[in-house]
This record gives sequence, structure tokens and C-alpha cells, in this order.
Amino acid sequence: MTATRQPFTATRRRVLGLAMLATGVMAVSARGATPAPPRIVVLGGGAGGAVAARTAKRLGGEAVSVTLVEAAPSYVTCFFSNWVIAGLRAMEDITHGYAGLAADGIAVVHGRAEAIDRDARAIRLATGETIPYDRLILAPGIALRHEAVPGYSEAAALTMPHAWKAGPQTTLLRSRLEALGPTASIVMLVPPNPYRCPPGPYERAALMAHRLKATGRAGARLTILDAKETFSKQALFQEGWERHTPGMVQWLPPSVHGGILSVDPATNSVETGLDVFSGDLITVIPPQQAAPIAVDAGLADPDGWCPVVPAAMRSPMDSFVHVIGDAAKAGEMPKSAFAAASQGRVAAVAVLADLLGWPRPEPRYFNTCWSLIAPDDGVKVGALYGEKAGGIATVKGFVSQPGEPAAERRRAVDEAENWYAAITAEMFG
Amino acid sequence: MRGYRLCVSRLVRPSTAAPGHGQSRRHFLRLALLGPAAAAWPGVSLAATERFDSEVALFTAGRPVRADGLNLEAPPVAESGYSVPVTVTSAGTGPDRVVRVRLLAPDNPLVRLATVTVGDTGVPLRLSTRIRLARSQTVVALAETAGGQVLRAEAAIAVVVGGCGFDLPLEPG
Amino acid sequence: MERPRLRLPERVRAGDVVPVRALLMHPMESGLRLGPDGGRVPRRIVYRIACSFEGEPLLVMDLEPGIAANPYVEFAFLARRSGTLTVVYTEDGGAETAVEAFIEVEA
Repeated sequence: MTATRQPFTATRRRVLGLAMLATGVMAVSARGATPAPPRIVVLGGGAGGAVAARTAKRLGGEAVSVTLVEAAPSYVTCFFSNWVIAGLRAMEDITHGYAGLAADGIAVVHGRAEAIDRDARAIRLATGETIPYDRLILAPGIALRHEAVPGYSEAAALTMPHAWKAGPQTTLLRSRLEALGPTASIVMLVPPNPYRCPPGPYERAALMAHRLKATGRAGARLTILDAKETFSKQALFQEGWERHTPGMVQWLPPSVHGGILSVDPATNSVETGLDVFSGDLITVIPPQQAAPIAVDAGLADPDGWCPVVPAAMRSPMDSFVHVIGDAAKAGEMPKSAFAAASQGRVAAVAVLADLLGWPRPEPRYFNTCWSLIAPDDGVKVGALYGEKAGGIATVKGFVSQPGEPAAERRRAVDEAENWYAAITAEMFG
Repeated sequence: MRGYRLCVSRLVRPSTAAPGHGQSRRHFLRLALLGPAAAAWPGVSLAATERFDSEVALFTAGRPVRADGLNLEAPPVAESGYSVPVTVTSAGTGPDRVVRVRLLAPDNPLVRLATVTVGDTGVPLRLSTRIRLARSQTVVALAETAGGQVLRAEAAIAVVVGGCGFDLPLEPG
Repeated sequence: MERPRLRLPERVRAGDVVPVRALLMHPMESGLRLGPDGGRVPRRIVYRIACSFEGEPLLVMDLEPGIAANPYVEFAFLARRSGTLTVVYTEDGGAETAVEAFIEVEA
């Protein structure tokens, strides 16, 4: 999916932060204290969790114990998975192991976390084992609310793939796309805000259309039935669809399609307030919320997302827990990999400040999203965020402009590729 | 490539009134403010004002134009000019019942968007459709009532990116 | 042309206002667009949408290339008696496609 990247200023800032915190590490060592180091547990090994764990260990060293709990033995990045669906990358390219984290001295526990016992300050695994924490950084990601689309379910996702969590669903959507005929019709359902990777559906539409056209299937049609009247980078995408794959991508807002009423996997159709839309391939991106473990622990609002205190992504419900990444309600920050990584760094530093009495730098959050409109046409949007009126708000930002020269768009693709290498290196070593 | 660039609009707030008779100078000034890039856009020209004026003249056929009795609803800012929702309404019944509507986009390469002839629906007019806008402008609706009156309504729409259904200025000769 | 899509309530009472919503997926090729080869893509639009109830015209829309791709029309009429609403789309070159819906009006 859409890629994200940290601006240069952030890197410089982090180096300064490192230098400052390194002094603290030496001070602690000099004291020669030998009690068991405080325990930082990170739940969830995506962009937010992996970066939080590595930041905590890199800065905290032997002064803290860092444990990462993640069910999957390897991680398939959701970002760039649209590239895989379109045949621009292979699954291996977006699959990463956690060996680098173990090498850093992080205890990586591959187990399914079943619950958070906030009173005991411990994670309970499906195996019954418990992992106590002094501070928990919760990065559980999203849950897909299949049931929010009548007729849709986990079973239906095998017929109508969502591919909104990378892995087998990505492979399924890719193979379904490859099997389509020259005049196939595709219907894509896009959820209401908020959801993971706001420009992702539209990038996916662009890349699926590109793939169809590049393989002699320009007669195919992709109809987007959106739950929203407008969408992220709309002008850039609509311009791009028309330029690269004219007539292939149609976008209908609810004021035209009349709202999604239900889907029927048996007939491969979608009923809307206007009519029934049938397709050779239907992809349903369902509405989302924070993963159940966060909701079950009472860390979410009634809307299903976890509120946070802007200064350090700390939960207002539990001062021993920080919630980062897609599960959190981070004000104006989008749910993206880079936003999660940025929040992971802030949370890690805040936890070290809590546990070791280290300085507490003013938090800075960044996000940059790249989207591909075609393999040689990239666009980006980015912003710096800060605390404003009790929330996280945009301080300044930039966005690609329509009508930019082709060379600039090509350069954005290179940037996206470089960024992918950089963030996965930061996550996995 | 050339055509692709032509369809790009900047986010420029449209003037509150569409160009009409005697507004050529204002239109020209707006052009000057937009700078050389705008001047290169073939649609934004004095010829566009003339095309709009003649469309209005054609519809009104010399009759006076009332500024009340007709409403044109549209979003003040459209992210994209590809598909902009517009709704025309009128409460008129009896002799004030709207029987014909014409939608005009003064700064589109083709000024006329659509003409709607309304039969005996038995209800006051409420008509929605979606239009293409090449750039920011004030869209105009003209209506004719059963009693022969002409009504006019406007909606200023700032367009972030113009509708790329239009790469070229005009249809051939 | 694709199959037109039309939605109106199946059953209403006499005197109700019946909303009509009609969509046809169609590129509305303006004739003012350049193709990848730099040449003009020929105009091909739906130039007329005619809605009638039991043969009586309710609304006739003459479209120009400035109507967005996938032309959409929404209007309403007064339910007076049961009958069939027909929407006919005519494309450049004269090709037509139509869609009908029966509406039952209870007294």
C-alpha cells in the first residue's frame, strides 16, 4: 500500500535525541545499579510496534528489558502490497522476519496475545503464559468489521477478497486479478473514514487498472462504490486514472450509488440504494476499528478506536499503556505505516523517560504517504504534526500538485522505493 | 502531454458573478491576475465571455431575467472537476412552474452543459445531475416558467483540478 | 451501451412524491480529449435522456459534453396512478438503450 517516509529534519532530530539520551545511559551505568531492569512490552510487530521496540532497545540498552509480542513468525507489509497485487513486486519482497530484533537484544515472543490484564499489568497469551510489563506499548493494528457490510464475512472474503491485511488475501486478490478476462468488470467497495491507509483503495484501483491494461485487458472496467463523497488526493487520482487508463476506473459516491446495502458472495454482486452491481471480481474493503485486544481491554472509545494523550500517545484510560499506529485516534494523522513508526519513536522515548527518569523531549510527529498512480507516476502528501488544543494537528504539510512534470512523478516513485528500504530497515534491522 | 497540462486548474476562487453583459473588463482583470499560465488556457478568453453571453441571449430571447424563484445548489469547493454535483430547485407552481432549465458553465470550453424540458411532474422542480468543470467558475442555471418568465440562479465553485474531459479548446469548426 | 440503472420506490400512495434516480455508466467522451497518440478522441456522448410515465413525458434532458461521465439524473414526480416509468438513453450515432420500472400506486 501507500508508502511513508520520515523527512530529513526528523532524522537530524533523532540523532540529537540519541546523543542526549546516551548521556543518560552512561549515568545509569555509572551508578552500577543491579536491580532487574524495567520491563517494556510491545504488543504488535508492525511498523509502529517494531520501531517502538527497536527505539526503546537502541536507546535504553541494558537499562531496560524489551519484549515484542507478535503472533506471526514473519511480517508482510501492508504498505507496498498494492505493488504485489499489480505484479510490480513479489510477496517475498514485502515479507520480513524478526531475527534482527532478536539480535538487538529484544525478546521476541511469537504467540497470540489473548488479553491485557491491566490490573496485574501483564499480557496473557493464548498458551496461558503471562508476560508482565512496567510499560505497555500497544500496537495491535486494525480489526476488519466484516459484519458492518451485510452479507460479508471472513468466509465471504475468500470469494470477495479485501486484501486489507497483507498476506494470503494479497495473494488471493493478485491471482483473481490475473484470472480476469479482457472485458471483465471489477467492483471495489471502499469504507467510510477512518480506515487504514486513506489513499490505498485509489492507488489499488490505479494499479489494478494498470495491470489489466498492460496485459491486453484495457476493456476491463473497475467501479469504485465509495462510502464517501470525497477522498484523499482525489484530484490527483482522478487525473491519473484518466491519463493512464482512460475510461477503465469509475468512481461513484454514495449520492449516486445510493449507499451500500449488502453484498452477496453467491452471486458476486453488491446491492446499493440505486441498483445491484455485479462483477467478475468484487473486492470489499470493510469498515474498521482498533484490534479486539485493545477494545476488550477497555482502551477504546465507543467508536472502536483508542484515544491517546497527544504528548506521548499515552492512553487516557491507563497511564501504563501507550497506544500507537492504526488502532489509535491520533488526531489529524492518517493511519499509515510512517505515522505509526513516528508514534512508535515518540512512545518509546516517553516510556524511557518514565522508567529511567530521562529527559522528555517535545514530541514531533511526521507522516509522508506516497501513492502510485502508475509504475512510473508517484504522488506524495506529507505533514509535520504537533500538539494543538489537546489533539494532534497539522503544523505544516505538502502535497503533490496536479500537472507536475513526468520526471518529478518518476522521482517520487524512486523516493517511495528508497523509503520502503529505509522503513523496513528501521523495523527489522 | 500538452493536453494534459491544459486541463489543470489552480484553486482560484471564482468571481461571485458570472461574466455577462458589460463584464468583459472584470473578466479580463481576472485573467491578468491569474498570470501567463491562465492566459495560455484556451478556454479562459474573451471569446468565452461572448459564448456565454450569446447562450444567455438565446435562452432569454429578450425577456427580462428574474434573480429570484430559482436555486442552484453546488459545493463551494470541488476537489476535482471531473464530476461536480449540482441541484436546481424551484418552488414555483401553476404559471410559475419551471418547464425548461438550461445549465451553463461560462468558463468551460463548451459553455452549455444541458437543457432539461420538464413535463407535468405535479411537483415543484428538484433536479440533480453531475457536471464537468474545466476550472473554477460560477455556474449559471436559467429557467423558463409556464408563464414565460425567465429565472436565473448562480453558484460559485472553486475547482482544485479541472475536468479532464476537456483537453482541447473547442470542437472543430 | 451498458445496462442503465434506475431506482424508484416499488409501492407508494397516491399523492406521494416519487423520487427517480437514474444512472448509466458511460464515458461521455467529450470530443475535446487527446488520446495517447496525441490525436483527438472522437466525441461519443449520451445526448438525450428521456423519462416518461405511461407515454407522458416527465423530463427530457439534452446533454452536452459538459455532463460528467456516468450521467446521473435525479428528479421527482407526483404519484397519481400505477404505471410504468421508462427512461431512454440515446447515444451519438442514434443507438438507444432503455430501462423501465413499474410503480404501484395505492389509493
